[in-house]
Amino acid sequence: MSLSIEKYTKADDSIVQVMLTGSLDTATAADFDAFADAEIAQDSKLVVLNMKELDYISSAGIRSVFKLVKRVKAAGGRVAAANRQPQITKVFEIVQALPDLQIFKDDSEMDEYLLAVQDKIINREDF
Amino acid sequence: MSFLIPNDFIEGSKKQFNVTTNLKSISPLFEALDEYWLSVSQIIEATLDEAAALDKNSVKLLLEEVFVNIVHYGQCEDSEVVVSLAVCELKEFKEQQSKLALLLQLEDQGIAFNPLKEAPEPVLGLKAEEAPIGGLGVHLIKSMSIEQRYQRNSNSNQLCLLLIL
Repeated sequence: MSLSIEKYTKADDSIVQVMLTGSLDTATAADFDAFADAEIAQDSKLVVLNMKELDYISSAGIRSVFKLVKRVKAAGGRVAAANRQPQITKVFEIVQALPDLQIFKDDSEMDEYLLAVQDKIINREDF
Repeated sequence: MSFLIPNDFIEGSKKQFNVTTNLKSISPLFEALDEYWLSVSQIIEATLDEAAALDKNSVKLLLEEVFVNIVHYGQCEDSEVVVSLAVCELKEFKEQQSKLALLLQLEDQGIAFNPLKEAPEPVLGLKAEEAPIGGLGVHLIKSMSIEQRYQRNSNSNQLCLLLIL
């Protein structure tokens, strides 16, 4: 049971894409929290959790996502989840999480949105 | 260990598997589940159709949620938990629903705690600012199993779940 986390940034760190691989669970939630605290800047405008390679999530993992959304929203940013596998979607649906988490079903939907947001950030517009 | 789900729900269980593990780490339990799943995969694959509601991931999730509750509420970090799994058939099942089910039972030596009644009920669908910290695990347990039974013995808690495969 392991989790690997990779970060990619765009538009001067305003857009952060976090690639999750493996399991976000009781054993790995603390690693995710530590990563989020250390690596996701307070003033991030958009954080996208790319869940393409995330095979498993439990309530501990969902709580970590809640914490991240709460922190980013408090600083005026947004969090989105992309490419959820069916078993991940199922857990999100059962716990009804979260109405304020934007969902992208695949890479093209995510990339399209990221491009639009990037343009707006560069032009200093609201998005 | 005998299962708490009564026989009027299920036909005789088969392929029972018991494992005893320390509460310090859940990894041995996940490894045991991998092993068990391999041993029952032929039965499961022969019965399941594409509409199968449950996969190994869901069983793993329920196992983790119950385990975490025991660690959190049981105050028995140094003791052991006994986990039993068995495949069975449901006596009554709806159309387009699998007849095959899985029994999952955990027994721990912690203080008396019935998670089905005593764990906090989360309010769902809230925004991040108000999202609940506790109770999600028990909500998942109740949502993903069709029957749950709890029993307190002289010094142990038993929780049994019935999952449709």
